[in-house]
Amino acid sequence: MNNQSIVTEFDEQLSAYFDGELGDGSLDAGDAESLGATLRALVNAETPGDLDSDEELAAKLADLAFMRTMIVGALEHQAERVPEARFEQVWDGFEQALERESRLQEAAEAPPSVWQRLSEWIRPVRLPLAVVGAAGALVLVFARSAGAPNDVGAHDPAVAANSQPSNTQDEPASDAEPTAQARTNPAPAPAPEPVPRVAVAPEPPSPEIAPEMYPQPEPGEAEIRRIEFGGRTGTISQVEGTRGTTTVIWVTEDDGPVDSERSL
Amino acid sequence: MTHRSTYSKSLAFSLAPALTTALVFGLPALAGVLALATPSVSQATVQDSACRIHAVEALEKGEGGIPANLDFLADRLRAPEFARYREFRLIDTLDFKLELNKVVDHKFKSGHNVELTLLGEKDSKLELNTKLKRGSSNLVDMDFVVGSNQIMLIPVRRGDQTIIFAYQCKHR
Repeated sequence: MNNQSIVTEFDEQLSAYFDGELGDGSLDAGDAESLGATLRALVNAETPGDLDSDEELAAKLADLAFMRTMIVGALEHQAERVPEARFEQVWDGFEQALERESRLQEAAEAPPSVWQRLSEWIRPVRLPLAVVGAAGALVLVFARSAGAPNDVGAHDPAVAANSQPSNTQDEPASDAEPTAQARTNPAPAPAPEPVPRVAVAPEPPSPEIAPEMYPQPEPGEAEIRRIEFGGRTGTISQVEGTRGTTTVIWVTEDDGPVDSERSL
Repeated sequence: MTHRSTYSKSLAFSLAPALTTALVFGLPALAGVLALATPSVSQATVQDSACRIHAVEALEKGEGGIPANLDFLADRLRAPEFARYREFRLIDTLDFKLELNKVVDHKFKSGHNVELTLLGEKDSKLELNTKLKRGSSNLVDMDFVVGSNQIMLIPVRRGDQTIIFAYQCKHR
């Protein structure tokens, strides 16, 4: 054992002693036992005559005590500088973090909605579906553009034949005057293939109110409950026909001028 | 026996809701229908009717006789009371759709106004009021009862010409 290692071990033993960790049976061999015995003697003043070693140990112990005082004082000072509200704030933040984590946990455990499940179900095939949808849209657009009548066809006389008079073998000649172009150009030869015609739906007949039907009049007399004549004369009589009796109220107007639409 | 009892129970279980529903809703509905269908004193009368009035011009001078469109009146127009007229012309036909106690007024081409009001019903005949006017002159104001589809004539004479108003009314 060299001197350096002996010194280090002595310092450790001294620190242990200072911290109260050096017991009676903690050293078990050689120089360590002698150091422990020396420290105990120093502390217990069993060998007051060895002043040189005692002063050195006392100085080291004083240094250790000073360092402990400094460290503990600094920590206590820092602890005193932390206000109580700071602890409340820390606890609030901690509780919020706990609640946030619990909400995230609940959201993760909640069953997914229908749209989420549908999107999850479609997710693997979304690309093929998008392709098929785009292709279908294109086909629909092309089909509609191909099936729509163009403007040229709308003015085709064959198309409008149902609404305009035409001179064909199947139809009587029109009384319309021929156009200048028709007079200058000879009539073209009939087309070898019949042009398909677009049937023009006839306009629906205007709603007419059917006249109410009255059956053949039956014979019978009317019962006059009350009557007032305002003309010159008035007479109630019965007319006998071959089928029965009919009540007739004869009225004679005054001959004075009247404001009527039709003169009698 | 057991099979019959089980069948009866199942039939009862199946028909019970339907019968309950029918009883709960059917009986009040039936009562309502019967109450509406049963004619009370105030509802015994007719609520609406229809009349058609033809205006026929009767001429003492002429040889036209009775045209085909007046065949339905021919039997009456051949009566001795109309023998002086040699020609008849249908000049107007107007329909009156009548509701109870509501006056319907139509003006004819002859210049006459005819007002008709349905007053009610008596012995399945229509009870009506009519006012025949020319301008502000009230020529006839009468309440009468006429059978459905029967004809009543009101000839209005002025000088040597006559307009015959032929009333024909019926239930709607």
